[in-house]
Formats: sequence, C-alpha cells, structure tokens
Amino acid sequence: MSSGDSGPSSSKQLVQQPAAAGRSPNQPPLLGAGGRKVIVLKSGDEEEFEVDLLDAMQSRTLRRAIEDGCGDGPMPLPNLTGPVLAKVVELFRRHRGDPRWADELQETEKEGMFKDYAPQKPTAEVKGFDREFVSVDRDALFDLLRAANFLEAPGLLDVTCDAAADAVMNMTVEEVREYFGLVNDYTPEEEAALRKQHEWAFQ
Amino acid sequence: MDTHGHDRISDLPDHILGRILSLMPAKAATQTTILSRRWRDLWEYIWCSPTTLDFTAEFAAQQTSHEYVRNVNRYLKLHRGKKIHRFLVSLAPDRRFFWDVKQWLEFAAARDVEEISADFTKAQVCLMSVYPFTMPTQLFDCLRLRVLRLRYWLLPLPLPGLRQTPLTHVPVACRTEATGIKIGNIWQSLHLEISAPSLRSLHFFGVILFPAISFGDVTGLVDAAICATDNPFNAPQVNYIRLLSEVAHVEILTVRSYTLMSVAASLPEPGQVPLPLPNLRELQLLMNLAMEPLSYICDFFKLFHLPSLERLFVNLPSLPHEEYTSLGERSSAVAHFNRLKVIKMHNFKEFVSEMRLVRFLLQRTPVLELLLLVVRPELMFVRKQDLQRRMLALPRISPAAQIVVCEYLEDDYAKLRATHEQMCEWDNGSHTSYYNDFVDAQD
Repeated sequence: MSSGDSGPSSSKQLVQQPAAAGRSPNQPPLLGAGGRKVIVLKSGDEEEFEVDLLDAMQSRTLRRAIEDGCGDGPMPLPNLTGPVLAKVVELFRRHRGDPRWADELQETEKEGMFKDYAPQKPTAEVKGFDREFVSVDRDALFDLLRAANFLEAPGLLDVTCDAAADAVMNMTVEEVREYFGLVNDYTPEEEAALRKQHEWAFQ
Repeated sequence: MDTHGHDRISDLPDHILGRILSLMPAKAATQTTILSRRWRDLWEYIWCSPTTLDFTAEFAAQQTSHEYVRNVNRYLKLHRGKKIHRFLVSLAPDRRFFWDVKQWLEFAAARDVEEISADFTKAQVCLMSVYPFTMPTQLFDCLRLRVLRLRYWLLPLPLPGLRQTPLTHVPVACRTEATGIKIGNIWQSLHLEISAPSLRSLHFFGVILFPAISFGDVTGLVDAAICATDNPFNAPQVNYIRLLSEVAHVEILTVRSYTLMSVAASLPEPGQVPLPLPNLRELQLLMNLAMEPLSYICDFFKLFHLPSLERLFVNLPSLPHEEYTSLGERSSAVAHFNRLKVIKMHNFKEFVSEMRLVRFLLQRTPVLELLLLVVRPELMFVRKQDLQRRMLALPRISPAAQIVVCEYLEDDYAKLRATHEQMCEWDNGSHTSYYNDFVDAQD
C-alpha cells in the first residue's frame, strides 16, 4: 500500500462505477485510478460502488467500520438501495475537503493519511451540487435523510435537513401532515390545549 | 416505520427531526407540535442551541406582555448552548417585567453575546414605567459586546398626551468594550452614562427626549455624531456644550442644527476662551432647519477652537427660497483655520446668506486647496457655468484655492465624502436605511 501515499495530488478524481465483481474478501483495499486507496460499498440490492477511502471517512459509521478493519472487502450496507448509495457516494466525492466534516477528520490526521485533504470552504460549485442533489421527489429525499442518519455523515445531513426544512416551512399544518404522511392522533381537546399553549405561533 | 401505512418520516430519531425544525422559522417549527403525538415536544430542539435569539417581529407581534415574557422565559430555559451572537427583545417597558428582562440580559451576557437590542417600541403612553430599570452589571463586563441598541419609542407621532406622561429617570450606565454605539429615538427620560475606553465610534441620532447623557472614560473615541433631534415641543434640553467638551478629543465630528442652535443660545461671556477641540480634523454640519448658516456656524466657531481642522462639510438646508433670518454680524472674533484644506457644501443655492458664509470662509483659510459647492439642479435658477465664474471672482487669502461648482454625485468630487455622510442621508429623511445600514455593517 506504499504507493497510496506517494500518488498524484488529490485533484485526480476517482470515477464512480460499480466495482469489478469477484474479489476475495481478504484482498487489500483497491488502488483507484489515482493510486489512492479505495473501498467497496455494497447496497442492499447487491450493487457495488468504489469509493475513495478518504471520502468514505465523511461517514462516522463507515469510519468506525474501516477502523475496525471491515474495509478490506465489499462493505454491506443492507438498508441503502443502489440509487441512494450512488448519490451518497457522489456527494462524498464532491464534499471532499468540506469544512463541515474536516474537523472530525483532523482527529485521525495523526496517521498522516489525510495530508492532501486541506479543508476548504464549500465553493459555489459545491453549493450548486448540493442544491441539485436534493432536487428530488419527496420519497427520495426521505430516503436520503435516512441514509444520512444511518451513515452519520454531517455534510449529507446538513444538505438533506435543509431541503426538508425548506420544503415544509411555508406549509400549513395540514399540508405538513400530508407531506410527512402523518395522522393526527390528538383528540380535539388535546389539540386545542396545545394551540392555546403555543398561542403566538398560531396567530 | 409504517404504523399508518404511509408515515414517511417519523422513524427518524428525534435529533434529526429536531434538526430539521431548527432550520425553520420559530413560528413554523412551533406549529409542528400539533402534527401528531410523536411531534408534540420536538419543537423544543429549536431552542437548544441557536446563536441568534430574536424575540422580536413575528414573535412579539400578537402577544400580550404577559404571554411574551412567559414564552421568552420558557424558551430560554431550553437553551443549552454556550454562545449567543445576537439577542433581540421587544416589549413594553413595564416594571412588572423588569426582573425578567434583567434575567434575560444576564443570560445573554453569560453567553458572550455580541449584539443586544432592547427595543421598547411597543411602549404605550399608559404603560411607560415610572420606575428605574437598571441594566445588569454583567452586561458591562461583556467583552464581546459590539452592538448595544437601546430603543425606547413612543409611537405613533404626534403624541397629544405627551406632556402629561409621567416621565422618569431610567439610569443606564453603559460600560462596555464595544467599539461602536449608536443610540437613537429615546422617548423617555434617560440618564445615560457611557464609559467605554475602547469605544471608537458613537452616534446619537433620531429623537432623543430629555436625555441626560454624560461620558465616563471614552479615551479611545475617534468619531462622534451628535445628531439628535430634540423634543419637538420644547426648547433644546441637552447641554451640547458640556456634551461636546466631554468628547473634545475626537478627530471626526458631525453635529446637527439643534446642536448648533443650542450652542448659539449660550454664547460665551466676553473674554471667555473658546473650548479647544484639539484633534478635530473633520467637521460636518447638518443644517436641516431654516437657519441662517453663517451666524450659527460663527457662534460654533467662537465657542470651540479647532486648530487641526482639515476638512469641513456643510449640508445646507434644501429650501427653495431664502427664509433665513440673520442673527446679525457675528464673524468678527473667529480665528483663522490654519490647516483647513477642503470645504464641501451641499445644497448650495447662492442665497445671500450662503454667499456670506463662503466669503467668510475664504477670508479665514490661508491654505485652502478646494472649495466644492454641490448644487441641486432643481434648486438652481442660474447656469452652473455662470455661478462658477462668479464664485471664482471671490477674493480669497489662499491663492491656490480651487473653487468648483458641481452637481450632486456628478463627477470625481463625489468621492470626497464625509466620514459620516450616511448621517447626511439620514438627515434628508431616509433614516430607516441609515439605521439598517448600521445594523448590517455590524454583522
């Protein structure tokens, strides 16, 4: 794995594609196109994705797994579907160096793995990508929110929570219930009491 | 997750739903309490750690004072954060709530607040307090505090019952590390003492009724704008001479008609030495009332000695006709301005009184480099070129002095601006934008 650290600069970008099948579970992490370390993530519907090891670190869940030595073979993520995982992997790649998770990364900096990961402010391009990323229908957005929760990925969580807040902030209570698919299980008296308790918000 | 067959979101943990709510406006987020039982308490997340606590506008709009205070107390209890950037409240200055307001300010001070706005816009005449409100001392030790806005308004104007209103002393001592303070529209008797060694900039503007303002340590003060409008029903109440003498070390000063009138009303005794403003490099005079410029300006120069003055800006009233009454000849005792290089006058209309002011200045400025007369075409009855020619013929003791007539923002001379030029715009009626600019500039 020595070539990993001496590889070309981080400007070299990894092309996301389903990984070649048939690798043995004990094989060391792949070397990506730029000579970087990559790991393989496997969705619930058996689709595999190569992802730069450093990008995967944006997820606390994946980082814990990698640190526990689970990164050597395809890592199964049974509750994420292929399309969701494809989007998430793309976001990780675009958020490379994002300050929203750079702080956490610094903690693991000791090993020198992340030296070409200088934190940077999100560029207009990244912001544009984020907007595009959440321009999806309601159910797809909720799937991404669940993925963010499962993966514990701060950047992904920010983007998806923002989108959810934007979607409902100008809705009426009825519209929000409909949007989230909620059933009002209050009695009329209970609801009236809550409206009274938070009167200013219902005026 | 699907207890009802279509619930799309409630399987997410509380902290994620709370995070979504905290990205929404407080009102919309609070409404989610009635979505379903699962959502009843999730709104509490929005008060966990916000760094801006804005209890104004929508929040304050419909609540009675009691509800307002109860809700602010309730929400602040939920706050777990260690840091607040902005803390904004708006309520009636009712004595029953002073204890609460004090608690809030202490709460904000303990979290290194940077901006506080205590806006008593909602004050009604009948609710005006007759009891003093003392700012908590913690606030004055707040090192990060950069903006302190105190607004005690009585609206709307005019207020027919004003004179019967029980006005009282609201002692406010202001000891802060703030670098800029702006105080405006104080409709209540206010004893304000400002002691802030690192204060660099101080602006008084708007209507300030009966304020007793004094300064403690303001050694760092560089620029001051004393632009308050006095009580429209009474003679000026503020002792501007004392006020100015307390900030005599400033380098940049803007004063307004009322200040000049107040000064003119207290001419020195014969033989009295003028008060020096030794560091003053730039002076802006905003003459928004129909007042004869030369007399008032001369009176100001008789009372204050300005040995270092380099730039003088005079904003003449934009009146269509000459309506000034002369106070008589007063220019005799005024000393020369040995360093004055630039004079800029706005709204110059070639009125007799204005010409007298120009002649006066040209005779007392040995090193003058530029006299810039800014005209407004709608107020001009002569051609600019003719005016320019007449002005050039004026006698002057500085042979190198240029005299230029130009239109507002016409050319390069627009770059020659007073430090407090915004004040000038504010003076012309757009005070709201001035105030907002101030708020934005601090962010």
